Amino acid sequence: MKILIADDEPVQRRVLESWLVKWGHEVVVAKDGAEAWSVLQADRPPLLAILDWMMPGMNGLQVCQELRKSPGRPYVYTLLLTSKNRKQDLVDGLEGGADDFLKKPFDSGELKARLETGMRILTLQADLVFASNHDALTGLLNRRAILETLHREFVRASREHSWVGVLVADLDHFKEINDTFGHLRGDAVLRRVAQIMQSNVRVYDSVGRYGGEEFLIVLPRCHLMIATERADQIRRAVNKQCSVEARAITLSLGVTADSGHSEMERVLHVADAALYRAKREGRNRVEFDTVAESAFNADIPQVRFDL
Amino acid sequence: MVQPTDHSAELHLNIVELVARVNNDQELLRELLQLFKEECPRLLRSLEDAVFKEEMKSVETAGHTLKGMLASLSATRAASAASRLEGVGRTGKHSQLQEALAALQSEVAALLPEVDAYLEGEKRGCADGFALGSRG
Repeated sequence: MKILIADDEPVQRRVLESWLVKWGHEVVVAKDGAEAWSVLQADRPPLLAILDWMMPGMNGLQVCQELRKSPGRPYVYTLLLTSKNRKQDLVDGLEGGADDFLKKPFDSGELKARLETGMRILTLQADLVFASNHDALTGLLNRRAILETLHREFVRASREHSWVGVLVADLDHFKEINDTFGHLRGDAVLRRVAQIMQSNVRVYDSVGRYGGEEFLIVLPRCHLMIATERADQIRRAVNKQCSVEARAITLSLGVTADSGHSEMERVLHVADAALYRAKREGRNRVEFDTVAESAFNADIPQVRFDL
Repeated sequence: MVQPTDHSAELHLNIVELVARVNNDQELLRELLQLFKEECPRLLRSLEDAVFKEEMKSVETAGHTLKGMLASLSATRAASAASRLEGVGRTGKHSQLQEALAALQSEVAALLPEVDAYLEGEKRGCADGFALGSRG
């Protein structure tokens, strides 16, 4: 994995680097705390950092403290290198946000073991983050994560003067499928539909499970007509590729698009109203609407989302 | 518990420990010793400068860095001398500055020829005979 080494002392820095390279890691080297901090602020930062405690300027502990003050950034596991051995120093270090210590001059076996502990914790951390953002059944983004994605894309669209396509999809007669074939088959249908949706969008589009058999799809840089075409492509793909014992599975979709300037709740409301219309007009179809026109549309159902 | 006789304390540069630390990578070992030869005089100068000006904080930091470098090279005796100077800087004992610096200077002065001898021996391809062989 990618590991940062921050140490002002060149001999130890070189020894550390050579061990890490030998063990197959990608190493980023910083000669002081300030350089380490800027490496950690960049895109795709190393998630494991070996920091010498005493460095001129910003020291290793200060780097830890700054890291812990940066919510929303990926978690960086920090291993503080120290020759300090008073109990109070260790307590200060841990309270400052260091995850572990390595005493200088270090032993390579101990370094390896401590790195493995760090990597284990980072893996657990990544698993937790994944689980908190994804739906366990389908592997799609969960409701909270897809709404966050939508919000992010709205902000981006308004900044870049572009559009976001919003699709709300709902499986037709899903309750019947569950009742007729059982919940296990119903779950398999949800998983299959999720796969079909994922394979019919671009890599930068996002698909989320919005409710029981309902999905929300966010298409960045996509105006209404393109979004509607995409919705119909998804509808046809599900129709063709998903069935239970010769019974075709169908999908209804409501589509809208926005420049990121409308209220997000309102945009979702419009897409939902279009979906409602698709259901009412016979299912297995796509309906669309613009946010502005729908302002005069009276048959909008009750808001069903809480953000 | 009976400890095996440890000869390493007699040496300024504990090559056995150092070779183990670099996993017997002779090329890396050479590189580290070269690095030390370049960096050590610079660090020592800044330390001497700090002692001369009695800037205790600088004595502490430069002493700390030098200690780390020496310890990384398994130069235990010189590392202790640097550690002592670091302590003098931290505790602000001006009266001990000169003596602690002199002790460090003499340790480094004894260390450098060993480093050179090792590098020379390496160059001649008889490194295994040096320091290691005689300790059996």
